[in-house]
Amino acid sequence: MILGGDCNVALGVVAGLSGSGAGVVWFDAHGDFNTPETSPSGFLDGMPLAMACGVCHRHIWDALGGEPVAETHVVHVAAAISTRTSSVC
Amino acid sequence: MNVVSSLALGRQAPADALAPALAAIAGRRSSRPRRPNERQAVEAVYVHVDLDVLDPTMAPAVDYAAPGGLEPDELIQALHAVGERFGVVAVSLTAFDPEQPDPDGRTLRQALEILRELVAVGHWSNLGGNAMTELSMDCLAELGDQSGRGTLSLDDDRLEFAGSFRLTLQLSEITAVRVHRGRLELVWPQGHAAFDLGRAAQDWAEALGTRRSLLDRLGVKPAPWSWSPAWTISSSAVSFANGRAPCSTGARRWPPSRNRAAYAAASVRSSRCRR
Repeated sequence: MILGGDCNVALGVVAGLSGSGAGVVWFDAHGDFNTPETSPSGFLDGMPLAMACGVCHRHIWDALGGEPVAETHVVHVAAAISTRTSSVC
Repeated sequence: MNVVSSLALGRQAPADALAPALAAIAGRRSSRPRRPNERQAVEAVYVHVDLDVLDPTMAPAVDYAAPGGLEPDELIQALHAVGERFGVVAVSLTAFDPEQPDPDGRTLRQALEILRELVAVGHWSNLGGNAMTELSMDCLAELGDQSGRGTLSLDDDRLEFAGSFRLTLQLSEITAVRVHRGRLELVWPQGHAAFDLGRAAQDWAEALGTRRSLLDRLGVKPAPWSWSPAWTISSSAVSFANGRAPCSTGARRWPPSRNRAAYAAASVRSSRCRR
């Protein structure tokens, strides 16, 4: 169990579960799937799920170790704002 | 990516709204051997909750509140729907901001409530095919000056011995657990007992420790308490330092042989600080 200030704490958890075959269920009002290309501000906290899936900032996995989770193994729940085109931040 | 919108959750029962997406990641369950490139079906999940998933009227003290969020009850039902379908092996709760206005501490209360639910949905004891949800063993027991044979059993919050005498103990009552030469020795304010469990004694002690203290260690209590800055955890520190160490331990041991899935990494220290 991890308590965190922002959603990027999830990267450490996903890295720790790497290789276990575990999926991810992500409850968030925001898509958290921005990338540097889609984010107007480049705000990192808009990208945690994209990073967890290895969609952007791939180099972070060199530090984390392990493998990103497959997008097909992720359920995003309750995005009030579209997952792929999150306009927030 | 499988997406379940808050609208979908509002239209039908959370369990029903989630079912197709959960089925999609669960994949096939067939006895046919997996092909080399075929992905393994998901049986376990990590559940992440950003508090902003709740409607801002319920949980305003977050940085990026978005209107149209979930009711707490919807979230709790959704969490249980996930827990019923998968083994929940890790959970995280994020984005509470104590510097934001929080009328009557409602965000904090919701956060604690969700934390309780996250602990509850975790199939912490039901992983790796080595379920310990109901541990049971015949043994010789001593309670005060009584001794005799019977069956010792453990469920979520209680230990029972039934045989030549009966004993029921809430795990929360137990103040000390010790293993000595295959004997499991328990102490509580009104008494003490010992059970001859042989080589299994250590496993029982571990199971007791895990179940008894998870919530205690987290300091999760329903009553409101004053907020301590020690609870505010730097996300980068958790991701790249604290978060990684316990999790990678878990990955090496995967699937965990016992109740090892609750990684109280960041929270242990803060709950101690508060006391």
